[in-house]
Amino acid sequence: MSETVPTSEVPISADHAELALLEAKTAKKKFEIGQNENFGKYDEFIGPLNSGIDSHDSYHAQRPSDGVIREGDTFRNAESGKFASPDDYSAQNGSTNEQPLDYYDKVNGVTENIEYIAPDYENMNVPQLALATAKAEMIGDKAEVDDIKAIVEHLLMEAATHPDSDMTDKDYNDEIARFNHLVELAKAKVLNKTDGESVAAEATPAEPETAEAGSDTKEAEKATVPEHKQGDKAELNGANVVIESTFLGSNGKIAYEVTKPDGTTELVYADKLTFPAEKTEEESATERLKLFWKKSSNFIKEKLTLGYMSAKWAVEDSIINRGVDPLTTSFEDVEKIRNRNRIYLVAGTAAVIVAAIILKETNPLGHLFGGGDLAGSVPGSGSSGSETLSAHDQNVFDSMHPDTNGVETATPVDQQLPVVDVAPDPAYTIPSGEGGLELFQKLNIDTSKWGANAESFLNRFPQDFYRMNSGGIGISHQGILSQGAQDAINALRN
Amino acid sequence: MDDLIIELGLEALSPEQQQRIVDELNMRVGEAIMSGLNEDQVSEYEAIINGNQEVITSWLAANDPGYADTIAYQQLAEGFESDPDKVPADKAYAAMAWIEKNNPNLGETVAGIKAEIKANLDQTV
Repeated sequence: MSETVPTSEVPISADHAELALLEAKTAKKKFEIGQNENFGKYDEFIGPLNSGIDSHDSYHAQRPSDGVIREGDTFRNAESGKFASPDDYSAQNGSTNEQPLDYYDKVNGVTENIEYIAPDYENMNVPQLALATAKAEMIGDKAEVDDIKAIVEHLLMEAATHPDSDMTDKDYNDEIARFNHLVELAKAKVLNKTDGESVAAEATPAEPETAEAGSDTKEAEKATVPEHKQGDKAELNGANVVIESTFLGSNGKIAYEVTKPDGTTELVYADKLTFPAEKTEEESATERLKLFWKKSSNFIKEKLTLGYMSAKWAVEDSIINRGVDPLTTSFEDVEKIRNRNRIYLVAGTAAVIVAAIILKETNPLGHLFGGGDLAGSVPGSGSSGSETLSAHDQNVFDSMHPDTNGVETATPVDQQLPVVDVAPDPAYTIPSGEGGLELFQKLNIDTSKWGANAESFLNRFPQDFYRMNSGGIGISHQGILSQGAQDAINALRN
Repeated sequence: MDDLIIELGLEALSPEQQQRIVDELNMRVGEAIMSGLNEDQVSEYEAIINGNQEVITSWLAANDPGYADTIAYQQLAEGFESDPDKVPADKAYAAMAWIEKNNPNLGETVAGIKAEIKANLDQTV
């Protein structure tokens, strides 16, 4: 049986408990006085009934000479002597039926109507009831303690007598014992401090008298100093928990209030928790580096692959053909230039990747490779790691030979890529809702050409066009159309 | 979105335009770092990216003998079987390690060319 006490409230110290008790008594006394005042217990009444001094004449002399006065069950205007209504009498006193007097409005204003909300003990579990019992005991509310204990016994009895229950008498008694123990634990001296010294100061005698006592003191210190603090992580029954506060039980054992994954809290002894072994700085750094490369490796491979593939397949790409003059450059020189450009392209791709990684803050030493320092060493591993190229692999890194199949591959050469010529044509920036017809109108292209070419656009540029439910073809996205689509549309301009 | 696209401010461009500019960046960087090297070095790098296993293995043995124990290599190697492009880890590792080894001022070079590209784009806009 686990000795745990779930609690949702911060336990209070003895001093705070005493203060709470005194405050409760004060409030109670204030209420009593207020009630007595309200009912005039402390009022001084000077008049015929008390003193017997005044005469009938003096009584009349004290009565008002104007306004509405009361005579028995009737009301009469004091001046005119005419009968008046009860409302007239009430109105002159500043009160109406709609606004009854605040009869209880005495000292300190209207007496607060304190509503007492009883705890829902019936729906609490045993540990929660233990906590409530502990609190009641600490403020000396014996009646409350007895009520709660009766509820506990009732709940346990219900559980024991349930048809599906397999609770034995021993189990029942164990639960009662557990409840009592939880009460004691919850009443334990609360050490809401993470400072171990404070714990030690409260746990040890001030002046050890003998050496033996001194050693006992050290042992006591060791036993009562919590090893873990608020925020530390631990495991409880396989679940990850976080320490919220520390306790020192009356039995001298350290207990921790922990928050479980579901957000509830429990009070457990330290020996019920499993704490992860602290990682060395090296282990932490290794983990970070591992995570970094794990995240980066796919990106790197993708980019290098694009570089390689671009170099392999971009026969008509101006980048690869840079420096080639179709009119003057010999075939052999064309191949050399293209190969050189391919090497530059791959090297540049790799360089941009490496430079980006170097700049990341996870790479404090500023370099990546060469000795494995920042590429990260895995202690204990020792494989050679050489890869054997498969035929497929070989393809990827083959020297680029035009995939001609007998077709002339010399292509018109672009000049050096005009970087300035990359501003998007605003006309091809598609706003929301624009269709092909509107686009053609905007471009001053005969709209009949849209109808004639829409199917072709859909087939050639499926990323830009789609078939609508109506069967017609529309533009599938806002923003810029692909360059291919733009070129195809531009080709329709006259 | 690719960090490089964002860094260069290319978000508003079409994918084809973005690729053209990235290719331009890579090409310029490649020209800058390779043009300062001798033919033997260029040939060595060409052999690496062409998948010459002998060159790859010997270069790594001479310059980074512990590469197989590195986290970088092991992460590059992880998932090879499931990688449709089947990029060998030692080639990818060597392709990057060689670049860094032979270009001490790599970061500055790349940053400078990126700035040039961005300046050209700003002028256009």
